[in-house]
Amino acid sequence: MSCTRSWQAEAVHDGRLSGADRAAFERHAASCSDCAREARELAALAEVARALPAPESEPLARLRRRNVLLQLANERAVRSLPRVSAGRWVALLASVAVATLLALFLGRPGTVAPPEVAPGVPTYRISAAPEAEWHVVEHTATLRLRTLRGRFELSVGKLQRGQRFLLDLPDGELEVRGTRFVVEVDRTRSLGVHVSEGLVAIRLRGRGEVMLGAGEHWKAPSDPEQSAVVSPAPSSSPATVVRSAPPAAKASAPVKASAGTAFADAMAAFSAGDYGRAEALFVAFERAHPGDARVEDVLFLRAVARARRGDLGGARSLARAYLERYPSGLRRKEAERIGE
Amino acid sequence: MSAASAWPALKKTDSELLVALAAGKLEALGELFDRHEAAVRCYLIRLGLSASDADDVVQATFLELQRAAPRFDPEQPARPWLMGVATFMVRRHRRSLARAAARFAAWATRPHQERVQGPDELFERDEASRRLRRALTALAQKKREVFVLVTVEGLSGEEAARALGVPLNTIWTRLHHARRELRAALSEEESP
Repeated sequence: MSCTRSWQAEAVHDGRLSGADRAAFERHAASCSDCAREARELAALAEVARALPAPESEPLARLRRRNVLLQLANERAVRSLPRVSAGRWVALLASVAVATLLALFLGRPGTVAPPEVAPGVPTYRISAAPEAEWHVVEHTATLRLRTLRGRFELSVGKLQRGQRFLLDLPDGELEVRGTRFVVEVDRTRSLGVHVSEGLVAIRLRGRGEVMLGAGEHWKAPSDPEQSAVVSPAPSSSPATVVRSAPPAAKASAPVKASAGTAFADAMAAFSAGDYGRAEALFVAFERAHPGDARVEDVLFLRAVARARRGDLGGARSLARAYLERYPSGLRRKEAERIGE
Repeated sequence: MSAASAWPALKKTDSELLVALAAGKLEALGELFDRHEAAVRCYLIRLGLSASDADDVVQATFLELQRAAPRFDPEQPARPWLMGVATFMVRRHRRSLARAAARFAAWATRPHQERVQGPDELFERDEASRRLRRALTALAQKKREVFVLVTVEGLSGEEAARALGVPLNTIWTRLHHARRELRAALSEEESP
């Protein structure tokens, strides 16, 4: 490169030269082969750079990462709440010890009032199904989560005085008193609650409060207009249910698992590496919910499950079945690779 | 349907979401993730990270937003700022990046690979892109960041300077050197 003005090609390319300077350079470049080549090469480099490909992430994987992110962010928010410093704890303990010693020394059974410490945020763990949506609404001594869709497994630490743990449901709310439970909702209503430890109060709009103890579960009626029905498990205390159920309550027949639950169960088996069971659950899902959008994922994941079980022939034919049914599906490329 | 509900609610801007996140509203983080995850991931992969490392850094970047949101200036555009956070997270993950670079280098020194091995390599089919990626991997980290931000992601020099926290002239200098080295590397490959 010999032309002393060729550096201006880059300045023009980056928009750093304008007006008369730019026009002057462009006139010069029209008759200068060095500068013209410089401009051409810069444009070519930019074109290749802009065309650099980047693989897109899979929607399911993205949803999983989103849930993990929100869970981590929530845990971090809980951890970052102001705490009583170590120094203050030492001072507090020292004053309690001095008061106790004084009471003993004076020979009177004195009482030491417990220090007034503001209750912190309740502790809990949440495990959400891949398609589930939720967020934190209130983050004080009253912790309130809003569940929008999907299946959630929660474990809430023992609540102190002044602490509350509430779950906003699409059609009401649920209050917890130190427990482990699973809740499932869709966009418009609650579908079911199962309590494995502790006590849960469900308050649905237009209905009375329903208390669920350990081992009890509640399922939404198939007709949303009907009253909610409490179905105690064999081990549960019927007294709790009878006391809490609305007068019109009656025993319900077992309700078929919702699409969300069925899909989450199949995905859980898949993630756990139990591919045989996962495939059986995928097949059941496909039969029970043929119109569900997730059938596309199901068909593809069946092929993957089959491949991971070592049945490559079966995996190939399932992948081809997927391609036949979804020729421009989201998993097309991966299915093509399996089907080869 | 009421008159109010006949109109769809206006979406919050990125800046509003970052302000909400700074106030502790985690639902804003979910919305920001939905809007920008793909772009940030794409940027990270173009910086040379493998898909799995990019996923880790994307997670770390959005988690960092929770801490960094109070420092965001709502008068400035959000995307360059977000790219800046992602860039710093890449630097923090230097060890992971070094692993990725070693993988790329090992792969780059092999002769032309005819058979595509896995999903990452599927995207390397285009010869020009492959050569550019190889040349990018050989660039120093800071030059690579500026080149990708300005040339690939389309940030202006001023935006890139704000994103990386360096003077504007530093951006132009790094960009100039990056281009020169890339062109030299590409022409070397072209010559027999």
